[in-house]
Amino acid sequence: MVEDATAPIENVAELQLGKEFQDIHILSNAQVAVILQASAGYAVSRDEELNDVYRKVQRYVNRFTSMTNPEKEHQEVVDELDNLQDALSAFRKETEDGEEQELHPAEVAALMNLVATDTMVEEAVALIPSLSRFPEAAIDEILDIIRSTIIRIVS
Amino acid sequence: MFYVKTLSHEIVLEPVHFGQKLRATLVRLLKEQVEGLALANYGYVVNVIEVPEDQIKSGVIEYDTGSVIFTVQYTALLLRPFIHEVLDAVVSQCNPLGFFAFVGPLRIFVSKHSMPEDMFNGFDGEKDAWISDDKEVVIASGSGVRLKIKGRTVEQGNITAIGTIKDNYLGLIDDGEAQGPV
Repeated sequence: MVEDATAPIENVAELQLGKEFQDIHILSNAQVAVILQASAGYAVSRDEELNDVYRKVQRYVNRFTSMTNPEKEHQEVVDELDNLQDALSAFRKETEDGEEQELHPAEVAALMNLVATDTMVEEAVALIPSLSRFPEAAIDEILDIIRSTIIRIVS
Repeated sequence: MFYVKTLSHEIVLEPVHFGQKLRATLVRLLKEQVEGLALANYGYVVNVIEVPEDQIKSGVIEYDTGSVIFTVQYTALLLRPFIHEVLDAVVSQCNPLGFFAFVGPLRIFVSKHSMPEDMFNGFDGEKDAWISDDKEVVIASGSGVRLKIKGRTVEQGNITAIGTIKDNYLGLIDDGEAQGPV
């Protein structure tokens, strides 16, 4: 593995992304789909060809997003996703020693990508180990927020 | 995972491009040179989102060639595998050692040692698939799998990651039939 031995160990399960990734903005698949759609329209209007990587990513996000509904108004879905992201980013829980915990952007993106309506706390913690720092009730609350958004989008 | 970051890139512009459309030419060249590129540390550049006008500073003339070097800052949408993250991927190819799956342009290899015990000997050469002992799980080209990234290498402008489906809640998601060809 070509990793610099002196660099800090990267481990997203412990929310260690590496020093160069402290100021990045992480996106979920659904948000990427929105960006690419807008960009595609722009390129087509200027008669530019979309490159290979772009098309592969577009196929990928269109396949693996649980939060889409072709019959719904596009803007409605975008709004729901934005609301969900805001709700998750603003999620706060007080721990026993009075400190406030919030969700890391990597966790928000992972949650939006991986959680489905039937995901339980156990599965969520197995997929996103850093969530274990929250009490079970808090994780259930988080899953509930996502569940209700998915149901709203898909129905 | 997908993320947005501001990066900078050097563009060498020959004098023939100078004139009214200098900025537009710079943006076009930037997109051509950078989109689709695999940067060693940052991952694949999927899309150039924005090139802020005020970020295109004055260029420096290269005395040897007469061309001008512009350092352009731009915001890009990038895709990079992070260690221990869980991702959904599409299987492209199975072989006796494991299978290859793709997340967009990113190639991930899952070796048979990173598969559950009941799939270890499950390679079926005729069907080109990995099948579990109880025949319930069939991983073939086009299937969707959920995997965890264990490591990554960069070679010749491509990023390859190593993945596993051995842990709980990982593995086959769908058989890809509803999706059509990838």
